[in-house]
Formats: sequence, structure tokens, C-alpha cells
Amino acid sequence: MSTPAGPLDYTRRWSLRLTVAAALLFLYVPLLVMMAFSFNDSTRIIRWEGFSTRWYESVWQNTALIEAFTNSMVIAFSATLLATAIGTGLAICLWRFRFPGKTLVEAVNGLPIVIPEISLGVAMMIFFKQINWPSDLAWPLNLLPIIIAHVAFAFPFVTLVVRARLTGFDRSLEEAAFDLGAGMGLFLRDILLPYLKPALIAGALLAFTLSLDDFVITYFVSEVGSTTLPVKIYSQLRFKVQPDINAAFTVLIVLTASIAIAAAFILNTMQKKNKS
Amino acid sequence: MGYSLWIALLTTLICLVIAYPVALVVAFAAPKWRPLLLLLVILPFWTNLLVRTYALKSVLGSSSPLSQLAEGIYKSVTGSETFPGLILNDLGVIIGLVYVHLPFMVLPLYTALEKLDRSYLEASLDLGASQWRTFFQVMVPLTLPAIIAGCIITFIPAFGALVTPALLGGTDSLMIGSLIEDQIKRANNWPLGSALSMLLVYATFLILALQSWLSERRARRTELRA
Repeated sequence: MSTPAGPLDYTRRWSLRLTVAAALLFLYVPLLVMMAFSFNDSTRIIRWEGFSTRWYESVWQNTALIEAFTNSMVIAFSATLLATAIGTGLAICLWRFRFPGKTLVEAVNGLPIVIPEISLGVAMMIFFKQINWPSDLAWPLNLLPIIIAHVAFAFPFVTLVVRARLTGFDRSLEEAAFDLGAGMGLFLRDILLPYLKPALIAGALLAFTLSLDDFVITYFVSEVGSTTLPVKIYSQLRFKVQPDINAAFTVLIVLTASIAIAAAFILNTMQKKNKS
Repeated sequence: MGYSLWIALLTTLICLVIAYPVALVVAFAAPKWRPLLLLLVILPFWTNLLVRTYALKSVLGSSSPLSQLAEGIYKSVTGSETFPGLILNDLGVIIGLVYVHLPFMVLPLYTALEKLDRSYLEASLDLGASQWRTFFQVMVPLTLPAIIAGCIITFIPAFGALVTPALLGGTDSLMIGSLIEDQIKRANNWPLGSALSMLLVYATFLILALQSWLSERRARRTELRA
């Protein structure tokens, strides 16, 4: 830091540093305050009255929240599994084959990424009502519409990640496999899928967080017995603010943030390998 | 509809003004700091939308220290007796939407600034242009596609936002998202709700078509020049 700042050393200009610091404060202070107050020993939201984990206990005893959380997890796991399978299959098809309407399929695949969530939610809801999907199924079958909706908006993201990885694939490996007598099945199992593994993991983690975090689409599709955690919390928030929400949200943040960091880490190492 | 449009446009503009310097610093930071800074910007994007909006609501609520500080400043500057509050009005909606969508704007700008050929900037500065002039006449034109992309991916979700206006807006802050929610969930008027949602979809397509038209024209022009 002894050399004077060059004209392009924007990182060392105090005005810019201050802007970045302010932006980061803006992004983090609300979340950190909320996390801190989840340990607050007070029924009032804003005054600090000592450390306590009572709100975590109260979340733990709140059967409605736990039920919604279980629903969220069941939905997220099933949707992740299906979205990863469909997304990967589509990515491989788009990469491997040429077929009429391919550009159309590619364009349609990008749709759920750009269309506003609320429009997707309304569309899904009306779809399930129009085909007279039975609404009185027993748990966990009553979660199926939400799972289908989540798969529908999550698999295009998986396709994106997998396709990015496929562009780095060495085609001569494929030729070698077929020359040596491998069939399509053997090639997929022994060559392609092992190569795609980091993308599969990253795509699955992405789908999982998308599903776990989704509020808007689920809000429109869910019925009385099939609420997820975000939908449950939203309906409670509208009536009154309760301190145990801080605790529930803190759990949710830690969960999704750790999954997201894992996904980012995997994607990062994947890119580095691609480059080298 | 017009109200949603204004709120979303204003949100996009504010996001751009905040995000550009942030992206600039991250892109020009030492390579070992870059991933960490980038992660810091993206991480909030991975926390639930509802969580972030709620957190903002409790920090800016009328009994919070921040709101009381703003109230004091507001009263002493304008001399008025009543303070409209930071949230539960249009200001709240805009703060909330900027808060939620900021990472959307930073990411494309960062990608473009990181790839930017710095010799252009050096040349401009060497030839005597000021930092501001270099910024407006070299850096901004070179990153224009990213600026447009960032504006689009900020504008579209802000335009159709549901949670933020519902939690941070006042009773009269009826954005198109809240209108759709009302029609579908409460008034049971599905045709109107569907029509409103489709309006959002049409708007999205229109914006994307405009963008691809602009980028094609740009590409053709550079071809002609070369």
C-alpha cells in the first residue's frame, strides 16, 4: 500500500470504497439484526433484553410450522430429484442430437427463467383447477401439484448448468467409447455421467434451494393442507409479527446459505478445471 | 399498471446507480479478493425473498432506531409535524425492491467490467480525458449491453413483485402483483387475474424482443465498421 494509487486502481479510491461498504451494510444489516434478535429474550420485537433460545424452542413446539417445514423438505427433495433427471436428460438431448424444432425447445426451456414468477404461479394454479386435479388426496400425495410446479420452474436451471459443463466435453472420448464397442447406455453410465458429476451436484443443489425458497408460485398452487414453510410464515406475517418468526427465518437462512455456498464452490472448481 | 411501471423503473434506476460502483470495485479488486467480494454480494440473493423483506421491515419499522433517526432529520429539515415513515408507503416499496434486486444488477455489470479491455481506459486517461469523461464516454458505452441486461433482469421481477409491496407498501401501494393476488385469492375473479398475469408475460416478451433487436443492430453496426 506504499505506492500511490494508479488511475485505474478504483478499489483504492475512498469514495468508491465507501459506496461498496454502504451497499454491503444495506444488504447485510437487516439480516444480521434479524438473526441477532432471534436470540432476544423479549416478546417485544425491537428491544434487546438478553440472550435466550426461547424462540427456537417455541418454533420447535409450533406444530403448524414444523408440519409446513416437513412439507417443504419433502417437496424440495422430490422436486430436486425429478428436476435434475429431466434437466440433465434435456441438456444431453440438446447437446447430442439435432432434431426439428430444436431452437424452439431451447427457447421454451429459457421461458421459466425469464417469465415473472407470479404469472407462472397463476398459470400453474389455473392448470391444476382446469384438469380437475383432486384436491382431497392424503398426505404426501396432496403435495404433488406443488412438486410438479417446482420441477417445472427448476429443471431449466439444471439444463443450463449441465449444458455449460457439456461444452467442455472432449468428443473424442465419445468416439473412442463407441469404437471400442460401447452402446449408448454404457457410454452414458461410464463416460458421460461421471464427467457431468460436478454439474449434476451443482444443478441439484440449485434446484433444491430454488424449491425450498420459492414463495410466489407455491402460494398460488398450495391448498389448505399443503402449505410450505414460506407460505405458512407469510400467512402469519399478515396478521401480526411474532418474535419466533425471527428464529424460523434464521434457521431457513443458515440452511439455504450453506447449500448455496456449497453449490457456488462446486461450480467454481468446475470452471477452474474447465480452464486448465 | 402505470404505478407499477413507475415504481419498477425507479427501482431499476436506483439499483443501477448503486450497483455500478460496487461492480467496478469488485471487478478491479485484487484477484484474491474478488471471489470473496462477489460471494458477499450474491449471498443475500440466496436467502429467501420473504426473509429479506421481513428483515428489512423490522429494521425500518416505525419503532426502530433507524426510522426514529430519519424522523428527527425529516422533521428538522422540513419543519413538518408528521413523519410519513420509511415503510408502509411508496418509499418502503422502493427501498424493498432495491434491496431485493440489487444483486441482479451487480452480476452482469461485474462480468462485463471484468472482461473489459483496460487499455481503452488507459488510452483515454493518457490522452487527457478526465476520470468522469472516461467513465461516460468509454466505460459506459463499452459496458452498455451489460447495463441493458442488468436493467432488464431487475425491471422484470420488480414489475411483477408481490411480496415486497404487500409487506412494505401502504394500503394504496397497489402494484400489479398485489392486484393479481387480490383477484385470484380473494375476489375469485380468475379471468381478470389471468389477464393481468398475461400482461406481465407480454411485457416481458416485448422487453426481450426489444433487447435482441437492439443487440442485433449493434452487432451489424460493428460489422460495418470493421
